[in-house]
Amino acid sequence: MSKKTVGIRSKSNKAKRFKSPGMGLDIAGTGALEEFLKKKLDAKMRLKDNFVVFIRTKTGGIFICGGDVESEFVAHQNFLIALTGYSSGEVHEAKSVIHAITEDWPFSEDDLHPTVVLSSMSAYLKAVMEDQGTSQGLAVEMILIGPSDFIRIYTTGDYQIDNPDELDEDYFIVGCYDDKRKKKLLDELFNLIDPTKEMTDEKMTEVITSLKNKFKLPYVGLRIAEFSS
Amino acid sequence: MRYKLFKEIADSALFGSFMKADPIPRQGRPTREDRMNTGTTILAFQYKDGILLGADRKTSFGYIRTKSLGAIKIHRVSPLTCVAFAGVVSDAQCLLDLLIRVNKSFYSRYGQMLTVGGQVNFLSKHIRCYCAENEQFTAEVIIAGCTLAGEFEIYEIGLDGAKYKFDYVTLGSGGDDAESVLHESRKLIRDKTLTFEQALNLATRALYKSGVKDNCSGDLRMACPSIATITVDNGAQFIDNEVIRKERDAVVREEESKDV
Repeated sequence: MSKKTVGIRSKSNKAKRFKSPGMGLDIAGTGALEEFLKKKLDAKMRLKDNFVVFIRTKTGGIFICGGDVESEFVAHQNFLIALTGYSSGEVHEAKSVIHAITEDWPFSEDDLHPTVVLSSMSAYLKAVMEDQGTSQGLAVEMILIGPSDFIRIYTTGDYQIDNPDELDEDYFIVGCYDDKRKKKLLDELFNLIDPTKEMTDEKMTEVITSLKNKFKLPYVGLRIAEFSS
Repeated sequence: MRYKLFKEIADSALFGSFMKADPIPRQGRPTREDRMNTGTTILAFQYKDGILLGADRKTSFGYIRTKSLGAIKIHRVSPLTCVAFAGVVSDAQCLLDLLIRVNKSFYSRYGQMLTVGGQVNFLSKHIRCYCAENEQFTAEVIIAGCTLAGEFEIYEIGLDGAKYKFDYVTLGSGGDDAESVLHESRKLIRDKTLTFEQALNLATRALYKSGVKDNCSGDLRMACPSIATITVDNGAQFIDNEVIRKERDAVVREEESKDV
């Protein structure tokens, strides 16, 4: 894979960046909508390389994060969050939102459900994206898993909630907006990891090394989440 | 700009609007001596199947007059939680309203019920905030409930927001008299061996004693107490008045026979 086709700062990609705004709207117009669409697309483009993958297993799941920057995991008795972003500053900003909620929580620890984080994080991402005072959205995406919730939060503030017991698939991904790369990555993970088998230390090392080498990723993180529902 | 957004969202997620005390100036709020004082007896203790809460029905008007003999001092704030108040009526109503709103709001926002511990923490912080900014609430609170794991918890929240967890608790002006009755059965309460009938009898005897001894608690001979239970099977529910009346009559007969 050459740098020209994958690198998000390559000129060829930059030129294509705002060509397809979606929703059937013409991007040539001016005003708030154009700015909003630009920010939305820009945030997605900045997340071309970085990703969080969740692979469902019988007892919980495996999180795999990778990209240009170090991803973060936030653990709590009720949930585990894996988040990735375009820059370490943006990852840190998202993490500080999560910490602000958990630190000042006026109820009990048992009441801190994944939906609480979802509610605040989604509102924050949406507010930043729609705020005309900021030039860029927050290019951060994350997966939250709790005993009864499987949540994906996207950079636009959109989210998806599923019941972990009723999921049809075993592989889930956020970030990685390069379709070819996403397909390759999922194929590679499909070959490397069998969700029915136990994840040993050797296997973890093998997965990390393989991803680092094949996708030229400076950072790859792996964490196993187990829930006793 | 982002910091402002962050603050707004964090405040909304943390129920900031509820946590802020009403801006009542200190000089505009009547002092405790000026206000109507209400004496009460409320109690809660554990028994075999869960928790039993009891309260008298009298509302005093000052130290001399009786305002009502039909007041309900125990309230169901969520399917698994009951709360009982002793103190100034307006403060109790304010706290009750707050607790109901927070419970509803939490459920509608996050799709989960607020736990007993969560409600206690919230109310305790609110009372503490208010106490620090203005005059304190003149209301003591018992919150009792069942967790989703099936464990029963009884908490007391004091006037300054201090919270305590007990196997049994009595509050209000007649609380000491009621406690002396419960104290005799403390081992049975701690071991959770009391049946419903025994628990009902114990609560009625405790409320009878406080009603006789305390001027500001309702006398059982004049007004039947209100009693509620919290169990795993049925959640929080009030006991039928007829059942309480029968028990009350039996206790009154028994106590009066001792005087003869």
